[in-house]
Amino acid sequence: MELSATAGLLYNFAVVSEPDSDVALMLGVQAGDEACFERLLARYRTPLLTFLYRMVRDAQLAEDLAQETFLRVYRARGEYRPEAKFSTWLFRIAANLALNALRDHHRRSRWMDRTTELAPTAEISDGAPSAEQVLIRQDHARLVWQAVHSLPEKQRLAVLLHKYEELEYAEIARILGCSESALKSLLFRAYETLRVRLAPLLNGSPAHRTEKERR
Amino acid sequence: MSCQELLDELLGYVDGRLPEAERAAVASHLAQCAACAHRLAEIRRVWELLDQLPELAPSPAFHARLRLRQQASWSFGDWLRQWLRPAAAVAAAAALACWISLRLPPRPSAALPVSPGEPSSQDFLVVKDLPVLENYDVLVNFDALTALPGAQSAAQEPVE
Repeated sequence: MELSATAGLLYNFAVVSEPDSDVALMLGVQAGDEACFERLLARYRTPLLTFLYRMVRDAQLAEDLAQETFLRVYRARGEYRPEAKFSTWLFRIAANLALNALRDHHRRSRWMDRTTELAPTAEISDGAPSAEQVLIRQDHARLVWQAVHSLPEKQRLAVLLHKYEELEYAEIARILGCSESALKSLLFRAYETLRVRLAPLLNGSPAHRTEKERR
Repeated sequence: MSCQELLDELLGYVDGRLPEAERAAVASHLAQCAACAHRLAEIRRVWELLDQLPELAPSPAFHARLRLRQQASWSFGDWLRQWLRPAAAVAAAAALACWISLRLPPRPSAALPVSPGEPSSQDFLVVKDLPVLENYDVLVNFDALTALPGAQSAAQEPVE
């Protein structure tokens, strides 16, 4: 596969300066190096899978979508340009796949029935919690899970990318295909909805202190 | 900064993406406005609660299934490249080995060592011709041999 002159220069620069960077690895994939694809896969497999799981709330579907995302990256490797940030490209493909899957009415009816399902939560180790604390934490996790899934799909997508993927506003806007100001407006509405829906969990929390108290 | 302007910047303040100058303006407003400080605390709590969403690890079959789907989508060129790469590596290694062996100086007589007690091929020739050498004088002066046709010249040539 032929690289353009610019891509070749950028590749050389990326390989020399940061041989393990996403750009260097993706250009390695473009040049036919399977090991580079394996390393990108190892790097993004779990974050991508988790993002898709939180988006579609179905582990099997999330895994299918994650595989489809990586396959599309592999098939479209010739179209990748080093000017584009790899993670933005990857999550854009994943976001489109997730939105399409969610719009599938059959799928929607399947996971809408699962609103009472308690998802496995990442336990925070802070000593040995009592049985009551565990129950409270699980109950909180269930409420948060439901609150996030009550958001409109695009708002949920924006919140998940904003909260977990450490992407800049401009990158999230590119993934969603909107302007930065439209994204900020979308996020504002989403967090306001979450604030209202999670109101029972907000009082008496560690974060529920004024700035004066923090100082 | 008004309360409405602060609301627009509140999320950036919580997530740490707000530039330093605007951050200072937000902090200044929050120090004077209890309502906005309360709103900030609530948004911050929402931010923390979102940490409770579950993660998902890949299933044990994830990689194998992806590999199968990837190979199913391979073009002929991909297959060719996949199989040619190991073959090319072996050929390159063999070529390198040949080149190195040609570049190395020849080792001192790699032939079988000859012990003093074992005859060489030259020794065998000498032993075979020994009767001729022993009787060289007799044979040179043997008149009957000179009578043979063509023997005159042969007799005059030195025996090797």
